[in-house]
Amino acid sequence: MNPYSEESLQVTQVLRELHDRPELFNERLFPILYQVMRQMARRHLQGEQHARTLQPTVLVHEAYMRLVGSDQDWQNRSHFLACASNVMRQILIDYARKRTSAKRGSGAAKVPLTDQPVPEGLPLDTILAVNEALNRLKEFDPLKEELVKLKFFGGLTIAEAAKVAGVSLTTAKEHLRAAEAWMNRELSAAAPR
Amino acid sequence: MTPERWKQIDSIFREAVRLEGEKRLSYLDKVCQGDSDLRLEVETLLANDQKTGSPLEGSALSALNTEQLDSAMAEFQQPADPQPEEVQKRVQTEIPVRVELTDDGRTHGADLHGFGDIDPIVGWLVCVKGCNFGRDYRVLSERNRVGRDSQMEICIEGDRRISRDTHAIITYEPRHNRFWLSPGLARGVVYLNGQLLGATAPLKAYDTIELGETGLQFIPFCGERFKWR
Repeated sequence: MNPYSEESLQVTQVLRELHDRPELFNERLFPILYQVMRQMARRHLQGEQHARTLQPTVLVHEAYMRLVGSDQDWQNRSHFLACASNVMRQILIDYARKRTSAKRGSGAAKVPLTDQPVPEGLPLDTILAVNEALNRLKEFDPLKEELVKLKFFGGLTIAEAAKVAGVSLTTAKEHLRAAEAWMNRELSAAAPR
Repeated sequence: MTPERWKQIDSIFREAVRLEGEKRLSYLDKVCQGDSDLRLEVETLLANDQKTGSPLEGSALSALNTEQLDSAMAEFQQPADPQPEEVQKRVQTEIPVRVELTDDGRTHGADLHGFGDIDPIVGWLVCVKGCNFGRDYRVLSERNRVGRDSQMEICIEGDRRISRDTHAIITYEPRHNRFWLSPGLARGVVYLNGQLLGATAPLKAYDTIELGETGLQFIPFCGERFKWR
């Protein structure tokens, strides 16, 4: 897909209108982002034999380059990165929920071994626990929640997350440090190791 | 955890991480002053600060293997659009034009990008009862905390029965161009048009809000007839 394709023109248009018409995210942007990220995930799966893990930048940033191209409008870019982070969060949580309930439920024996997380990877339970802790954090500190969401689910760097959330890099770092300390405490309380 | 309590814990934590050893301890002694719960909260956070092996060090995507990611992508069912019917209907009738003119030629839509550092006004509260009778308060975009403290976005001085910190919250939601009133976390109760406010409720033109001895009337600037773009 090149930056001048119909899809990419649609995305650029939707990004511009998103501020006023947020329902466009679900209606139009989500299916396109999801489709493109899926194609890219597949390509990496087939092409990179040695890479067992995907760099998050591959998905979110390449999706941006493919769909929006070299548009330097940071507001568009911020909208895009925030949306892509939401897409990833929804996909991963949905997956983790299905898999963990399959393991706990009667279908336990049907889950093949290949679905087990790689040893150095993140257990799916942890993704769910992070998601739940984030939902709690949002109730009393929405800025911290947004920063953690962008970094953890969207795979953004702190500098990008700061820009998307509209705060300075120093502020974002301070908030993230406090947010992560709080989240670590919540996570260790939920699942003592 | 209330937002107020968290704010206190958060600011002590952020200061404490800049300090080392004895300095940190004496800072904590000073700010927590016998509040053992507060001290415990901050100390347990400090114990979890920059923890090695935390899942939050990286991102969820980088930690999954490619098969997992691929199955996650393949299995995902996009949920139905959660927008309420009413919103969808309203959106369809919204005219997607940046700046429009009314019959008498006045602009009633303007481009938000032109503001620079100005936080544009979206409405006002006018005091119609109590010691601030006749005074107006500016309502800005998104959350406006109402209370007696000068830190509040809407600071109502003089009425001792209004809580210092967040007695109520007025939210202007730019996406749907609507206003909401929520009770705060302080002790004081909020009345909307004479009824006790239990949870967040829509706020409309000329609604009356009562806090303590004060009555406020709400006047929107943004709404059906005007919206910052």
